[in-house]
Amino acid sequence: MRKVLRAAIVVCVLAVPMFAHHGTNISYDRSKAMTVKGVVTEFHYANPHPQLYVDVKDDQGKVTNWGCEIAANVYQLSLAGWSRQRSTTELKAGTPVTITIAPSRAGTPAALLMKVVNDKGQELLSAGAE
Amino acid sequence: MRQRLTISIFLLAGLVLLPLMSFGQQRGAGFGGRGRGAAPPPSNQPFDPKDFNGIWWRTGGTREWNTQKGEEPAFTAEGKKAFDANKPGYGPRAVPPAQGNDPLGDCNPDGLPRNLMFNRPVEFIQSPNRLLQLFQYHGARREVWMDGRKLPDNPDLPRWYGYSVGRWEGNTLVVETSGLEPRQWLDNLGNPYSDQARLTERYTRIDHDHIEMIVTLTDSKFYTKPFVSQKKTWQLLTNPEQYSAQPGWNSLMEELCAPIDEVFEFNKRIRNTAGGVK
Repeated sequence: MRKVLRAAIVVCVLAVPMFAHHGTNISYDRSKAMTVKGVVTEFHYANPHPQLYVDVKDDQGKVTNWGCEIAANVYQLSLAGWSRQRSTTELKAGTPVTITIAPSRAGTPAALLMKVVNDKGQELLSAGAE
Repeated sequence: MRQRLTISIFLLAGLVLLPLMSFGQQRGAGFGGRGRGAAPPPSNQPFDPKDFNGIWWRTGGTREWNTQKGEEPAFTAEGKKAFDANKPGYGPRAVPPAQGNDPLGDCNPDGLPRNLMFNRPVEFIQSPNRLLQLFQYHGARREVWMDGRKLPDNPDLPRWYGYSVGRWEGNTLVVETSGLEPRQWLDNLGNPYSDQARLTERYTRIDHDHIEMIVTLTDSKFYTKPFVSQKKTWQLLTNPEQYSAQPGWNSLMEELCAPIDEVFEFNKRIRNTAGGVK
């Protein structure tokens, strides 16, 4: 019964991040979503906007540090099982990740994080993914 | 029994999810829409209609005063001017938050009535003379005095959560509020209110698990007639797993907006960058 209840709560919580943040669809362009590989430089488990910073190297070897807004807030991540300890361990600096991001409409290296996957193929922070 | 409970839980999840999905198609859509249009599942458990003690979650109704469509209410000229000056990150007038001026963007207090519009748990603690509302979001405390005192007409110090008194009309709790801090907004759409604003909240516990709430704003400085909110629904949370992520610690979570995180980290490094603002 406990598992069923937990599952139902997670289903509800997971639905929330799509709508959680003001200006999300105005600031970021989901139609230009891209998936790139990179290395975590910083992760902030902060309320109301957790943040992930990732170094991404392009074909010419130029490195861009993307600042990614995580749609789910701490409350939603916690209820979905992404505790502070688990999240910060899985996303410590130096962790190789593959991120799917919607870049800013301003053309700057800021983005909405849509999905983050580690090198084992495991999706992380799934409350913030779509 | 167990099977019935399981079905109920997933039915509830469905009722929450489906309306949300349709909202996702709107540009700048906010968090709202949770459960909008969905009738609450019936509960046959006995209840006292005048007992509001418990943790309640705003599940029915949008996060806006009325709807996400953002119809303009009946503004006075001064009210229209205030509305036009507010640049929200939600709804049909949404701009990138970095270019907007939502007071929440810099961690200012949610205040009333905006925190009532938010979809977060609120604990109601009731005594004969006073009702306390403890808001998870922004960790705020609000007092509703039930001891017969009169509202101050023009209090010297406005408050983000105002001055509130309550009374029973039958089984409906009627709460009147004055002395609101007018620099906050009514809702995410940037609807304003002035220093003349008064609120009337009407709460009715319709069954064991639900309270319905309608809020009316009376503000002759900014509105030519009272502005009545959409009916909002609160759902009773009875299982700590619905609101607490800390096993064995049955209480609301702390959900503060700390400038050290939001203003000096997120806004500076991501929000402003995303909005093309240096």
